[in-house]
Amino acid sequence: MTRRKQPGDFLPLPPAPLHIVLALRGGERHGYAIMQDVERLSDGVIRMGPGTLYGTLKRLLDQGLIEESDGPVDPSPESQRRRYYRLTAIGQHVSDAELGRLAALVERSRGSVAGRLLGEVS
Amino acid sequence: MTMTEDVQGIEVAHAARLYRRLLTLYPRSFREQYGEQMVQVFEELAVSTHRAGDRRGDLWARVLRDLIPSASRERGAVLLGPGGRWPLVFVVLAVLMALLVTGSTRQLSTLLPVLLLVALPTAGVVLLRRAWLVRRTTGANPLRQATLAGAGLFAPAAVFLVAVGPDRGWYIGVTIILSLVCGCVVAAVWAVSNLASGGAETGGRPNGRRRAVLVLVAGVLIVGGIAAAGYNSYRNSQPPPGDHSVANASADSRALWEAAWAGDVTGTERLVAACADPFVQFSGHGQVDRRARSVADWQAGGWGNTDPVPEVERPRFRRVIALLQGAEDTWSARCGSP
Repeated sequence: MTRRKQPGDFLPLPPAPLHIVLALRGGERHGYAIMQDVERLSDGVIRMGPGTLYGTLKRLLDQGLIEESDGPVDPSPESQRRRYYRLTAIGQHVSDAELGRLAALVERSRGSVAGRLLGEVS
Repeated sequence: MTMTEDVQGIEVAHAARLYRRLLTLYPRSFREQYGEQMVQVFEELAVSTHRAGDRRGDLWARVLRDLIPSASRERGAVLLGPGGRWPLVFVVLAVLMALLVTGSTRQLSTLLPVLLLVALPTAGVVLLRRAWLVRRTTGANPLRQATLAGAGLFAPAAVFLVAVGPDRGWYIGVTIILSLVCGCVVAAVWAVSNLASGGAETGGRPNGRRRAVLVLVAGVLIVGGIAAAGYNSYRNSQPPPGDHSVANASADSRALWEAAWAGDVTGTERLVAACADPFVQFSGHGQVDRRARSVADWQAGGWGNTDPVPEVERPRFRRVIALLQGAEDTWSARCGSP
């Protein structure tokens, strides 16, 4: 019997899945909105193309970290064509775990930098 | 709608049509699932790029920079299987084939063309695995699956035989043709067995017995190929039988014999140091009579002379043989087995 995957099993998340997961923390999104959020979150550093976006969405779907959702009720033709995505429960846990891991990493790095600076001063 | 918006709409539509054509680079399953969404995102990207006043080239630069790597990634994912990890056995197979080819031919230059044949059949075997597991790699067509199975099973073993063949160029073509023939044979067997079992498979997994037969055939072919390569490598290391007449000796061999016969130690050593091609006969098993007979035969200009060496000539023969025996040891140590 295969073990159920734990959030830690998915860490560390590569950059593209990480930013998509972070974008979806704000709620369900369609593809273009995810792309825009990723660009905004990364301060313009990560500018995904459609290929990378949907390739990553496919892998996140296969991993069970995200799922398709119905999206908001909107009669416009563009909205009818759109497919929306949202985080699953485990996806939410994974994003929490990854943010915690990154925060701890930053904290430890600050500590080591401070220690080196103290060493230089004394 | 203003004129500008009209023009923008037409340009976006043109660009989207072109982008849709470029989506053929992606696997069919991926296109069917996400193609429409990708085109829609492209259209929205095109509109926002236009509104922001960016050049059209910026849009295409962004899209094309993403297209090739992402399409390669998706194609690779279909080829390699779930999880995207190379099936270890096929990597081992490719490395083993490359090593055996290089080892049996002792020429690194054969590595490059043979790698092309190793990569292709290895990919064929990986596709075979995908055909079994994914179902739709060959469009669920049992005949195409079986042809692929035959080519994928036969080609790796055939590469062994190609690599050890003396005329590799000719054998490469034969290998490809034989791979296809084998695939067609397997396909025919599959089709007949399908008819006999009362229905056509629709591209699903082959049943256990058929899979066992295919695995057994693959195993026999691969083991046979390895055995052929090993035997050929052993055969290449042995002295060739047949005619050892002086006429067939290389210029280096003749020079070596002449130097030894003249008692020219320095000349002999110089030829040995240059790894001159030695006469294989003098690397034999070493009784004086046998060696002396070899020298006498060489003197007579041909092999096969069984007359005993005159007693008066034996001391000189012993000196020549000792000189050649010393040279042989040096040659073996410096240049490898003669």
